[in-house]
Amino acid sequence: MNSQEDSVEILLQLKQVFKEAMGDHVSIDYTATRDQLADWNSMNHLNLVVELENVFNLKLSMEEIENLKSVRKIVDRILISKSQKSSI
Amino acid sequence: MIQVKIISDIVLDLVLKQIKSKYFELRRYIYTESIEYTFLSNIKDLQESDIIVVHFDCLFRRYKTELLLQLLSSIRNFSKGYRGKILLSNNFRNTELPSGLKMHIGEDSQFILLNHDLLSELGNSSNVFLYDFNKLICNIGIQSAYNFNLGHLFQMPYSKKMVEALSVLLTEYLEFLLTPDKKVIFLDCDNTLWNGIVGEDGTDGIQCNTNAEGIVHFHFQTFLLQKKSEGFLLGLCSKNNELDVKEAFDKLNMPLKWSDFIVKKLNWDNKPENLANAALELNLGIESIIFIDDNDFELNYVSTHLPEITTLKFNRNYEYFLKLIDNFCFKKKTVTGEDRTKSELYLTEQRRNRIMRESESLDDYVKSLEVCLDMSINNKQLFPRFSQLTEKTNQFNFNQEYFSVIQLEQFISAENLIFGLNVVDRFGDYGTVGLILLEVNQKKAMLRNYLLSCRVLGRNIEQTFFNLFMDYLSDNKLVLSTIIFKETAKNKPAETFYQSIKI
Repeated sequence: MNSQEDSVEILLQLKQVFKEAMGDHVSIDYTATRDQLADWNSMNHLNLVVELENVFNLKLSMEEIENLKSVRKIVDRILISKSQKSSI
Repeated sequence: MIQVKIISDIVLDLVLKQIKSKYFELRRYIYTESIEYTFLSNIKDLQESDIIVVHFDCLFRRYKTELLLQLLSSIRNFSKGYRGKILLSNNFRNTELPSGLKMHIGEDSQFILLNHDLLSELGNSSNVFLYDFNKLICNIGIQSAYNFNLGHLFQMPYSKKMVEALSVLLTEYLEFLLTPDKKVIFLDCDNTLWNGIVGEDGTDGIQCNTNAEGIVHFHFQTFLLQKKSEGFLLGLCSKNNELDVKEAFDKLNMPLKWSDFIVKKLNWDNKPENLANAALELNLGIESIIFIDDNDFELNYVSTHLPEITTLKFNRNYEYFLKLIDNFCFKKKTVTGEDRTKSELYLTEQRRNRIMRESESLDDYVKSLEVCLDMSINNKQLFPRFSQLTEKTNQFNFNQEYFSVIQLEQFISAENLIFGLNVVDRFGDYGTVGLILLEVNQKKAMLRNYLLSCRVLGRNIEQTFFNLFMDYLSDNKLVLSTIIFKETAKNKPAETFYQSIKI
């Protein structure tokens, strides 16, 4: 599987993760950012991180938690962790 | 609706979102940076809720020892004047960083001492309960329970797994605090109390011992024996020939004996019917029964016909067994002297019933019992039992008003009186079985509540005790002017009596 296909797969999972963390009415695409999305407030960011770590088995650093401000960045972060795991 | 407040220095929104119950309503959640201060500054506000949950976490926050002790003492002081219950996280442990092996050992002992302090400080308050947060962390493991990065950014250090486990623990514990304790455990025999089927394999072919085939059953019986000593009644409800089961208990040296079971329903009738009859014989509500079986069909059959019964599945897997015995239904909110000898009390009750069937009339029967009543006044030693009676008595209870030990102590600090009743007859001692709460104001008296344990109902004790009480009033020139009575779903016996004495 190439990283393009991976991203599509991850985005599909992320749509569900965002609903879980912020409510069923929330719908995102690849371009969504924290500034645009009203529901992506501080409390929901906390929920999001808890869900992300659980679903994608991540351990994020403090800087990462603060900087994951767009769907694109989240997808990239997940891709990195996947490539690290597959290279081991 | 019961109102629960949660106080924590951790952002618990995620946990609270998952707590839903028909028994209570999460009224308010107070996020605070210093828990110990909350207890000093918001006393009025806190006193309005029925239950207060205090969650703190020493693995995440590095509290100073003095601060923990201060929290402890402010909770203890608050609990004295509080009518509700406090549920407190048991997570006292060393929080300072270890700085060398010797130091580390010292810190560990400090941690043990803190837990010891916690227990002795709070162990005597009847309204403070602990939930074992340390055990929860052990079960999940620190690595998968925590995310400290997230924690220090958002004041919420728990992983999804931990959030779920904590919300389940709190929901179950709160429901446990709000529902009456279970009273009797009914058991299936084959493949539950022992391994194998006694009717087919014979007593030589079944196992309840410390070998591989029998150890789960052996430990289960030991657990049940422990529950019996805590005041649970044990019963058998099993599709077996009675003789086979009796032989198994007689021949095999198992932890439980034939005589440990107060009721034995060993027949081929359906189990819901057997259990309903047993409840009638014991004069207990269906909802106070726990039923344990290894067979899904039987469990479903019972829970469909008697949904109020708590049904639990027995399984030979040892890890499953550990979860089974950890169930909240096996816990008691208070264990009094009466609880420990309860089985004995019910056995003498059965002997009484036998005499009753043989006696010509109820009057003859009551006479033959040689009932002896002993009335005490403001006896503080009996207050824990009194408090338990106000919580547990349903049928003969004038208004179901609950009194904690502290409230009882406050009650008698004025001129008020509490009359306690102890009953003995020729078969045995019933213990403390009733009380009357009397508010006195310048020779005018108001009966605040009158209640009697169902164990002594139906033998004219309700009238005799009341007469003794009225004699005391007239001897002391007190006039009974008001009786507080409130109808509840279960207090028909009390109402009938109330109608007969109404002023």
